Amino acid sequence: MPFRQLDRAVALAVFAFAAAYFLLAFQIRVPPSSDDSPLSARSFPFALGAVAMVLSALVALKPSHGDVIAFERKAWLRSLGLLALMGFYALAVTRLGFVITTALFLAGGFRLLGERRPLVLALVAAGTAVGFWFLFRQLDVELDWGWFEDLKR
Amino acid sequence: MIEGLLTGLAAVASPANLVLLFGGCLLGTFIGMMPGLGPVTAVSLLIPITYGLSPAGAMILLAAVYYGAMFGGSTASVLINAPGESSSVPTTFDGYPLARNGQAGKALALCAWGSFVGGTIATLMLMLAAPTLSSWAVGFQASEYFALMVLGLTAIAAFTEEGGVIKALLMAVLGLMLATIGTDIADGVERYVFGIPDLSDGLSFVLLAMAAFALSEALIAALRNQRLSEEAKAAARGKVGSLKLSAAEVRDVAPTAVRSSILGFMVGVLPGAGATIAAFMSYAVERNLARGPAKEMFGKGSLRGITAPETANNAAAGGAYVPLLTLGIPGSGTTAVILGALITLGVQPGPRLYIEHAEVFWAVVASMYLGNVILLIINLPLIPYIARTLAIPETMLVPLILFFCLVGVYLVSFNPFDLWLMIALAGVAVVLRLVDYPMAPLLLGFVLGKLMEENLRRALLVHDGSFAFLWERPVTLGLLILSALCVSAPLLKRLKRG
Repeated sequence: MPFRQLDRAVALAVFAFAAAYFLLAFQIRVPPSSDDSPLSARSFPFALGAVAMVLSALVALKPSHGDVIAFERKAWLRSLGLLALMGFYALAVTRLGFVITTALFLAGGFRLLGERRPLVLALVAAGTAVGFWFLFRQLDVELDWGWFEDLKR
Repeated sequence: MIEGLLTGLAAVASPANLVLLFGGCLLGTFIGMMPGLGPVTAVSLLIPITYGLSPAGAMILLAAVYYGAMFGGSTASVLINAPGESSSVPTTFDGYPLARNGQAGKALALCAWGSFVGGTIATLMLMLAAPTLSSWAVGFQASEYFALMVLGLTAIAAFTEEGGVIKALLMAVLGLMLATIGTDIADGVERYVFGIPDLSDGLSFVLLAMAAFALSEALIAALRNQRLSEEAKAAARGKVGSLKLSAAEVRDVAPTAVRSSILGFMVGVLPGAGATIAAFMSYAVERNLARGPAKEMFGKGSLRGITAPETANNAAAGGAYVPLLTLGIPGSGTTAVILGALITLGVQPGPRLYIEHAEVFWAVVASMYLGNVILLIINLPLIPYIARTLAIPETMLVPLILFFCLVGVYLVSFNPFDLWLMIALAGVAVVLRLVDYPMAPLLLGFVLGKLMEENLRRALLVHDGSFAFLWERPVTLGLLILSALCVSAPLLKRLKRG
């Protein structure tokens, strides 16, 4: 995508965010005691939202020049895959526990980025997960066991 | 002053703090060496660990990581022409040609000595400048603090690349906006919480720092699929050559080191300027000062060409501590992260830090002295071994960085919601970075946001709700005029050029 085009699109997205922020400031409930105050809980958000709208509009009106942003389809998929893996981590850590989730996350990440040796992949992933589990145990940090809570006893 | 320094040295010299210092220097060097990762990422990654430490211990660790990462960046610049971050770019101009001539050891030794000299001179200057500035600023009222924070945020604009001023300011404002999420302390009302209890305490600073720097950095690396060339890998694995410098070489680079240290410190003190500008400026100054064959060597393997940026960027790192410790205004992205960590630990940097938390101040100064010595001790003999870590495959590195971010944020709150939020923010940060939105102003705005609003409110309360304090108090007015100049100067320059 040409840089200017993406720059403008991002600036417009920021403008929309700033506009929503500005409008949502009306919903901030100001206590009656602050009615006469020159600066209530709403004032700062109003000012910030307005300034952000002006600045993002300026960028959108005059986007900057730059190199065309072109990544291979594979590169996008790889990055989205990593984001999805992180989502998996957030979802699984309280269910599968720290060790299994970490090992699966790392193995998935290594594979996604091109590690083809299954033994290296499994050993490094499992080794890191178990190693950190021991480290945190030494530091008295209680990690999640998830569905395997019974094994703790 | 001497008494304070001795107290600081005694505190740092405890076995636990020495471990932090050694560990921080090593970890920082390792992280800083990874292409694309710089001091700001290194410091962000280490923040969760500081929560179990005393404020002084935390500062010792973060300062050590900061210096270590600066040195690590230089190693990657010299050996594989891949600077860890922008302040190491000028080091590649002469460092890489030297490495290609089989003199990598000499170049790395110069980096280590240059960093040592720059760091030491900057620490001395910090020790002299900080108390003076603190005693001047201790009489500041809320209005001056507010103006100072406005200056801290707008100063970024003055040093941003041409065309990037508006984006830098916009990011600072976005940071201020994110800081308003949560319960407003003054009125006790919730803002932008949307009924989600996890948001009522506001966004976590660690979460934002990780998303904006470490996580987005790693995702962009995956997107660009940065892989080291076979030649670079061979350089990392190969011998680095002799680390020795002759007496004539030392005599040649000594004046450069002193000049660049002073220049680097001065530039580092300016909010928003930082190590990158210091490194480029000192390189340009030395090239202009050089005559005859020495001038021709610049860009082809000049020893002065490596010494200048290496000394200046470390001195600037020391200089950046001056506004942080005395005024509570971070001078760079890295010091913004350190400020956030200190606030989380219950220490508010500013003029009163020197009075109320003198142990923290002197521990920082002492850890800088010792940190520079330790870096020299561990890095010089370990250079050939450290260089080999550059051969770690990227297929492993990126997932490991992502894991450190996830676990770092998760261990603070044990709340998966924070992980979701961090992932979402990292996605947004990647898109913003692709179109050149700088991340440091965002963090600066976020860290200063609550304090700025609080001080503005306090100033209004003291002045019966009148905004007249903005022009009636001379220091406030002066600081605001400076802020206006910072914003308008680059815009006017742009308009003038058409």
